[in-house]
Amino acid sequence: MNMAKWRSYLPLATLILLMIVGSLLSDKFLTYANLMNLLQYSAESALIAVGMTLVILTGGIDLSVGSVVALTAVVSANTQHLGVWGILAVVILIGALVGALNGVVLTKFRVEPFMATLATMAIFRAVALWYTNGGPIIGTVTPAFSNIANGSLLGIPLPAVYVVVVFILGYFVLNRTPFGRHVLAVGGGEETSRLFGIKVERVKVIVYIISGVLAALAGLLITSRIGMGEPRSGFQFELVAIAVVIVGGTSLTGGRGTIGGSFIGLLIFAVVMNIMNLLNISSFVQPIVRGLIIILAALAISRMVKSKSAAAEAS
Amino acid sequence: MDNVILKLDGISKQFGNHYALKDINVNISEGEFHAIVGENGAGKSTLIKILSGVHLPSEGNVHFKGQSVKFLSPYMAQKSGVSTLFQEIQEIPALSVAENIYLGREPQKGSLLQWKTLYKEAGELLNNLDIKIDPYKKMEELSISERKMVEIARAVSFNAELLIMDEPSANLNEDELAVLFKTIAELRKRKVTIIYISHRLREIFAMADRVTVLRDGQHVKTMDIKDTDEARLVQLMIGRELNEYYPVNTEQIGAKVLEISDLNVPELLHNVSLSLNKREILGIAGLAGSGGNILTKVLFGLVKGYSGKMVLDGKPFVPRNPRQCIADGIAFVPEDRKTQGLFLNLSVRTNMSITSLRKFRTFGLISEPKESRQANELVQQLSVRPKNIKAPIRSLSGGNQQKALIGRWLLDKYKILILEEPTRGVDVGAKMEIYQEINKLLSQGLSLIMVSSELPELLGMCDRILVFSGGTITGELQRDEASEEKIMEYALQEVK
Repeated sequence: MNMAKWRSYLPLATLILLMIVGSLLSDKFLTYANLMNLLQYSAESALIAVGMTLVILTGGIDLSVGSVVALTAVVSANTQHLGVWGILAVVILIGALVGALNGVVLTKFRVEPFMATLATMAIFRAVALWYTNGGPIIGTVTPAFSNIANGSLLGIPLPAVYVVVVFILGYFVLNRTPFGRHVLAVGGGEETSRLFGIKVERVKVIVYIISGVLAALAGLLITSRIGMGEPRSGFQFELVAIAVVIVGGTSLTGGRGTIGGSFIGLLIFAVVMNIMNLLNISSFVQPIVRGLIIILAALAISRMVKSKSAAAEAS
Repeated sequence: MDNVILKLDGISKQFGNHYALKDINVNISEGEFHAIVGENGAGKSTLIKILSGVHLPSEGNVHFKGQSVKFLSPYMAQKSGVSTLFQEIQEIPALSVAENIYLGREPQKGSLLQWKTLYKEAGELLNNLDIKIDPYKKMEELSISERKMVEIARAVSFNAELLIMDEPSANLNEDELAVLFKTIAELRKRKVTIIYISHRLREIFAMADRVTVLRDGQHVKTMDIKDTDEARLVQLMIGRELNEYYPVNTEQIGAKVLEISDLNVPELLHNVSLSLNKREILGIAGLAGSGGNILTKVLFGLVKGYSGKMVLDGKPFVPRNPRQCIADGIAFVPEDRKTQGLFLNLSVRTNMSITSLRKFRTFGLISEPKESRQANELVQQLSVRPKNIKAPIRSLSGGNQQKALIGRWLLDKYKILILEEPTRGVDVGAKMEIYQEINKLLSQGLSLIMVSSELPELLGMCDRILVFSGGTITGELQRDEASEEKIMEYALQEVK
């Protein structure tokens, strides 16, 4: 097995190592309750990370997801009279609309994805704050709605189920549909894809719509979880999601990466945060650790690229 | 004449005021192997772009199978039966061979991708063409020739009736060429019409039925290959006698300026020894990856970890970084003008003065009048057009950008000027001017090292040519004994 191949197993090896470290540091770590906890509190990140993986695979980026979370968090708190299915429909519609907006801005007006979604990130957050006048929306959440995040299925907390479902769906879309191939193709070479008859703009718009809808669902989930609509929720979620995707081995330049990698990336962060919680490490320290993980991942990736290009030059 | 499959009826293409192609009329019959030759800038690539759907012609009509066609995109052309192999391989490196062949047309059931069918069909297709490539392999794991084969397979899968191949043999070694030619023979058996662009006249004489010569965007002649020979073809391509085109170095070649002995770079260069004399033009030839441009990178301090002895003007020379090499008297015009040579958004003046800023200092600040005066002189001397030193250099044509880049090294005294691909992407007129300028540099006492993939240019300009293969020098040719054949013979020499 060559070096580059070996390195592609690095995220998984890291995760296993972290699990071992966790179980050594705390005897609570490897318990069913703790692992379920770890999984269920990753649900929002999981939804966003799957969308972000697809976006990044096309060579783009979606910075607006955290603000979309805030937007649908407050809207779902304020539309409780529609019932659970009604709220779900509204939230999905909002997600699709904001995603389409992102997609159209960056394809039709040829704005860089970074700039386009930086702008919509600011706008969506402001709309959420304006909508509630800055404060949270309290006391509206019905028990049925609350059940979305706090219920369980066969003893498994529902958010943990969502994590698994969204990753399976993501895997399915990327690996089993022509659309998934086209996502990889667009990220691997936009001009070439166009030459091959792929509708590049359409692929991009769809990917941002998926990202928008998943972020919108994350917003609904938060409101259900905490029982109120908080316009400050979702703060820096885009950074967390990007970090998860990168640590999972997906290239920021697009065209290379997997949904499975992002799943491992998500678990790496979840495990690290969980261990720190178990060890009572201040929550202010946690982002520092997150930053360090990103740096380590970036180092590993740049080495990977170097050894690959060295191999290509030698051949 | 048999069935005409493609008829070019008065094709012209204008970019601004400039005609890249003017009034091209050619008929190509079904099943024919039609070669198109011409110097760089003759209009070959513009013609290909029109046929493949990248550009629409400004005037004239393309008739394919008796119908007037307007291809708005390469994909549309491909669906109609016209496939093109561009010089740049069109591929998604991270995807597999099969995925690349059927990208955009994946076999699917409902909205699901049929992986098994995909690999089965790709395997059968490759098998039918007698191409031995594993469809599961990723494109990036393949060699250049294998990637070309995959592109051909893709074209065949579109049922291409006309296949346009732009320099398919560039960068291929002899074994890979054999594979390419075998596949071409297979295509001809299937009655695929082929338009073939190549600089290598020998393969054209071996395969083509007819040949069209383009020069300066004009249609010079179309003829049966058996009615012509290489010398006549070259003359038609250049349109002038060879010695009119390339100025002769009349300077007295002087004493040794640079001596390199046993230069080694792990895996890239092996035991390279050479010398360069004052007022000499030394040519470096070789296929891509043969090591010639590694040598020049060492000389400009861009390669670490080399070993060997170098003497420049009687003093030991140890290149460590470009800054030091410039100070020691080495000037460098790199191969890729846009990414390695120019500051595209800056003015002509700034691009010229950037390496000699200390000459324009007054109390530590750059004196604009001094800088402008010198830049103006150079623009006059090199006839850079427009003669406006404040124009952003991106607005200049390739030839004028190149002149400005050479001018950069005339602001100060240097010993050796390294020129990599000095006329790449430059039209014929500007080429001649650049050759004249290069020749004038010699009278200022410079010595030149010229790396080029264009053999006529090396043959026309250089006093001596070194041929590289596999990271070492496989041959040295004096001006009077050099020929394309001899260079290729050395360039293709296997080095263990």
